[in-house]
Order: sequence, then C-alpha cells, then structure tokens
Amino acid sequence: MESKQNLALSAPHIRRPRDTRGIMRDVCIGLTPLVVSALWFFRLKALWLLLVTTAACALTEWICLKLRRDGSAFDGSAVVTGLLLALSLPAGTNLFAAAGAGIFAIAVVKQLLGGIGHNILNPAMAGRAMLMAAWPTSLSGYERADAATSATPLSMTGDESLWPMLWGRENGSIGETSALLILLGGAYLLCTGCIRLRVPVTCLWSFALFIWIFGGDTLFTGDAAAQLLSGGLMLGAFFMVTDFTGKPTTFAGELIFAGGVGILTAVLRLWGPYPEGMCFAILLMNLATPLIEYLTRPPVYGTRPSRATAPDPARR
Amino acid sequence: MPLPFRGGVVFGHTVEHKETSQSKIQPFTPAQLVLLMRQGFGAPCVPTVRPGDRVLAGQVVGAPPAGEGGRPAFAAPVHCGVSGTVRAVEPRPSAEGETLAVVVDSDGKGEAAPPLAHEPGRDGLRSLMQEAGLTGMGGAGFPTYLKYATNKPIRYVLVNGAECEPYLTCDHRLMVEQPQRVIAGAKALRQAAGEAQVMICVEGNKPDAIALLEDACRGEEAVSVVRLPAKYPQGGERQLIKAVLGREVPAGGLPADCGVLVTNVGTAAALADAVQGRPLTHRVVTVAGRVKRPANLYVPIGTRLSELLEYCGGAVGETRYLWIAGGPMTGAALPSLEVPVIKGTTGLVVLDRPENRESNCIRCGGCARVCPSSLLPFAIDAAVISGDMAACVAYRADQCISCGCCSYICPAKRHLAHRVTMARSAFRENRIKPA
Repeated sequence: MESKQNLALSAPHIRRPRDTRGIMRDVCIGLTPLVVSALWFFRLKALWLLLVTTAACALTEWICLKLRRDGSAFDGSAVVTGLLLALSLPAGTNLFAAAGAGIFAIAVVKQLLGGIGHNILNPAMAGRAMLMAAWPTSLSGYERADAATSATPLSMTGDESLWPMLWGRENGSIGETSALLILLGGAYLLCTGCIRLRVPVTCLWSFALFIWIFGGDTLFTGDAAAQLLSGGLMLGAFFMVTDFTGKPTTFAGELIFAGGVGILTAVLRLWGPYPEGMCFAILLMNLATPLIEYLTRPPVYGTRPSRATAPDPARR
Repeated sequence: MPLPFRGGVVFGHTVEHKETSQSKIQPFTPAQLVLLMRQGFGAPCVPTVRPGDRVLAGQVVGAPPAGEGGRPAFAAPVHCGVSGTVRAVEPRPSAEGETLAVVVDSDGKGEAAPPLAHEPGRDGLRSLMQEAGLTGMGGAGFPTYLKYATNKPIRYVLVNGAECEPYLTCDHRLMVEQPQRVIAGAKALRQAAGEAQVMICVEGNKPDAIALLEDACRGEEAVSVVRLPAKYPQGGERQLIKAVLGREVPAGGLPADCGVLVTNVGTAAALADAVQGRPLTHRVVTVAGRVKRPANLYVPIGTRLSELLEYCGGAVGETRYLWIAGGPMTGAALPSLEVPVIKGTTGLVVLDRPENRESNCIRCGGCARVCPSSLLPFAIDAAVISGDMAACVAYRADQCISCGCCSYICPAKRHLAHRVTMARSAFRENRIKPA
C-alpha cells in the first residue's frame, strides 16, 4: 500500500507551494535585522561569532545527513539554529566554545533524535545551556555595546532609562540589543505566517504580569517594562518560543506553552541562580510539550455531547 | 447568517481555477456508451440485457442484484442514455480497476423508452428515486432513495451547491442555466423528506447563481438560498450542516441522526427530471486543467473520458499528465482515459504529474489547524508508519472525511491524507471499534 506509485497517485493532487525550505528562508530573513544590529553594535566580534556558530551548525548538519544517508535535502534549518545560537551569546564568547555548542546542538540534540522535527529540545537553547553548564567561564564576556566591561545588565539595578534598551544601547547577548529590531523581524515572521501572534504575546504578557506582581519590594510593584525590554526575553518570545518543533501544535497547547515559558522566565530571573532565565524556561517547557499536546487535543467533530438542541436558524 | 465550520482552507482565485464558470453547458453525445454496473456506493448491478439486444434511451440495462431475504440489495439501477444495440457485456476499465459493463453502440435516433410514472406523495417519490436510478452526483454516489428512506424525523434538507473543489464548475453552471429545474427538484426533495425546510447552499464565489436562484424561489415559503463563505471543504456534508445549522452529525452517525439530509444540486435537478418521467441518464461534467478548450459538457452516463478530452481539444503541451476523475482535492487519479463517466463524475481535471518528496514533519501544526474534523493528522501519520493501530484509535482516525486539507497545507509534503485514510479504512474493514 505504501508503494511510491500509490503515494504519487493519492489525493489531494494539488499542494500548497510553501515548503520547509521556504519557511527556514523566511526565518533567516526575519533574523536579518537582528544580525545587522549585532554587527552594528559589536562589529567584528559579532561577525566572528555569527560565522563560527552558523558554519559549525551547517557543517555538522551536512555531515550528519550524509552519515545517516538521509534522503532529505539540506533544508536550512541548521543555519537558523546557528544564527539563533550566536544571537543568544554574549560578544566575548570564546569562539571554540561557541563552535562546540553549535556542533552539540545539531549532532546531539537534533540529529541523534532523528533530525528536523524529531528533537525534543530547542537545539540553539540546548547548545547555549550546554555552554552555561559545562563551560561557564566562556560566557563571562557579557559586555556593554560600548565595550566597557561590566556586570550583566540583568544583575544591575535598573536605573537606566528605557529608551536605550528599546533602541539598542543595551548590553548582553549580541542579538538582544534592540527590542525594536526584534519586533521588526517578528513582524516579518507574522506576515509570512511563520509564527502566530498568540505565542509571543501570551509569553510576554504572562511574564510581565508575573514580574509586576512579584518583581517589586512589595506585591504589584514590579518594573515590568524594564524587564520586558531587557535580556533575551523579546528575542526568545519571537524567535524561540515560536519554534515549531519544541511547542505543542494545538491551539490551547500553544497558549499553555507560551504562558509557561513567560512565567518560568520570570521565576528564574527573580529567584534563579543565573541572570538570564529564558533559555532554561524554554528547555523546561520543551520537555512538557508532549504532555501538554496530549492533554489539549481538540474535541473531534461529532464526539461532543449532543448538539440537537443547537439554535434553530429558522427562528433566529 | 451561516456559521463557520472549523478548519478548512481558503484557496483564492489562483488555486481555484474556476475558469470554466462562464463556459455554457454544451451537449455532447458519443457513438458508444460504457455503462459500468457499479456506479458508486452499493452492490454491483446485474446486466438485464445481452449482446445484440436493442435498447432505448431511458431503458434499464443494469438492475440491483437480489440481496438478503429476496429483497433487492442496496444499489440504484443503471439506465442507458441513448438508443442502439448492445455490443458487449464485459469488464471494462474503471477508477477501481475493472468493472463489469454494458457497452452500447448508439444508433443516433434517441428513441425513448416509455416515461417513468410515479404515485403521488412521499412514498411515491421515494420509489421514483429508486426507479430513476438517482445517486449522489457530488462524488460519493450514495443511492438517494436509501438516504430518503430514513424513518428519523427530518427538519431540513440542504441542497448542496457549494462546489468547493478547485476547477469544477458543473454545479455552478447548472444553477446559473437551469435555476427553475433546481428549484423544482428542491421542492420534490422537500416532499420526499416529509415537508422539511429546504435550503439551497451556495458559496459566495458564485454570486450569479445565488441571484438567479433567489429570483427563482421568490414566493416559495419552504425553499430558501443560503450564501456561504468560499472555504474548502464547505461542500462536505458534515461541514455544510455545521456551517448552516450549527449542528454536528454524531460520530459514526448519519446526517439524518441530527434531522438533516444533504443532497447535491445535480441530484435535485435529476429528481426534477424523474418527476417528468425521465430517469438519470445524463449529467454535466467539467473538463478543465491543462486542456486546450476547457468546457462544461452535458453527456450521457457512460461516455468515455478519452472522448471528452478529445472533444475539448486534448491536453496542452507534452508533459506527464495526471488525469483526475472529480476535483483535484478528492478525485481519483485514473489509470487510463478509457474509464467512462459515472453518475458521480463531476469532472475530468488534467494536471501535470506532481513531484512531491516527503521530508520530516516539522510539527508546524498546519494539518491540525486545517483539519475540519479536528484530528491531529501528523500524529496519525506517525502512528500509521510505526504500525501503532491503538494510537490511530485514540486519535480517532475513523473520523477522517478524506478532504485532503492536511496534505495540501503540509510544508514537508507528507502524504498525510493518504495515511489517515488508510487508518480509517483499517477501521472500516476490520471493524475495529473506536474507543
């Protein structure tokens, strides 16, 4: 029954032109403003970081596909992983460590589990988490865009005005500098249908609500705006929480997943050991995805309780 | 105001290709008819003629076989659309492979058999439906008399003029050119269903048909026209019921279980003919796609598709074609063009043979979003590949309507509809009881 002939002749006979490669191309285009801002603020350091992680990811993917004799062509998803990984790292990251994270992300997290679509964890985030756990000193290079070495922004007291954070004088990872450019890239993904608005929005408002309630000295005094614009939250909400593979496919599941990431990020930022919480929040929710998806299956047509009492259109 | 049904796909003009919507219906009669003894759902009919016999237009050439307890089995009789001589009774190519057929050479005279007569009233109409050989003309080919033989109370009859499949315009042209015939059929359906409310349901992308039908049924109390948004599969009966009435047909049940019957506009028009004494022998077929002169043709049942294509100037260019009986979403790819038109043949669509290479599911959730039955096609796909029938049960693969939306939308080009339909057939054939 599974013969090639049979499959080729099975209905439907027309397909939407959109394919996986096109989606990955659009995500890359959506990431372009972030790449440009990274290059603008961090110059050569960002360039090297982007090149090293992207090359490491793409090369590893190519080798893995060859080794697995996987018929599936190179679809560009490894380039997306490489870009996201670089954008989530600070400019001073050791380049060898960054390459290691890229190789780990593709070879172990993605290809060992069966390649695209079969990974449980977000490869870029898992690569970053591996660095934080196994090679923490390589990440200590958080620096201001103006190159004055300082503590990470999230461990500073938030006296700074919000405008620089919005425009991009923020320090931190190279892709997190400008909230506006992240919104621009996110808008492109929305327009091309790569992401659904409900995912980043749910993530951001649940995060802001939690910070507002618990983030201050007393309840309901947290500075949600500053927290929203700082760190990897915006980047994560638009480019990583929305990653297809790691999130549930159901409507309710998406909301639970995104809300969970938002709240976990807030919890980790307020009380966790690391200054940044997004990475681990996403990984934790990735693990919960199969369960969420199973529990939020939509009711199948015709299996709901009797609808014989539905309003009578003749009387409406 | 119609409600939306869940899921589905909005194609838009670039995919719909309804170029033939302005092509007037032209009559075409071939020199030879191949009347398959199985015209859709039900038992195969038994030929009632022998080679060399003379037949008249409207004469029965295939009758339902004897079923259990001496009563005839569930099937609609097959009538010949021309007068002439029976050349052969032998297996001929069909969409299913080969099927026994009565082959008739036309003498071109069109000499008619005596017209059908029927008793007045509901029962008279129901037996007329059977005698006239009416089956669903929207594709599935379910015998109409069986549908109307229900003893459940019927409040609504939906006359299905949605025609949501791309390329097809045969129902559209029928509604535009013969609105009176459609309304006459709708009124007969109302009577056959026991004075139910009749709604003719048309998608908003056929405004001319809606306007003409509204004019034609002005003053009728029990017949109205409903405008629906153009969204595939609006013409699926379960989706149509949900959209028009807000009701859901219970899983494993029939539309009659929620007090509704759905009948295609073509079938309604055929019933109008039957009331006039003419059995179902002709239908409108859309020939479209990569064809020189796309057209809507009024042809006798049994016309071979190769003759239709020839009449329309043949296919365009020289590539590897895919011939589809019906629309491109649910139609069957044909092994050869020697297959004849049957009662449920809505069109002949010629497409280039697609080249789709499957890649890994990226879990984008597109298939789950467009599934009108709210299934998770990607999960059933994975379960079928790993042979996990228990998971197919849990994911309710039995509720698939084979609309094809999942495969259409899939960016990884997976054959989702094919595998979900396979899982569904496994239920039906092995009678696995869904959880």
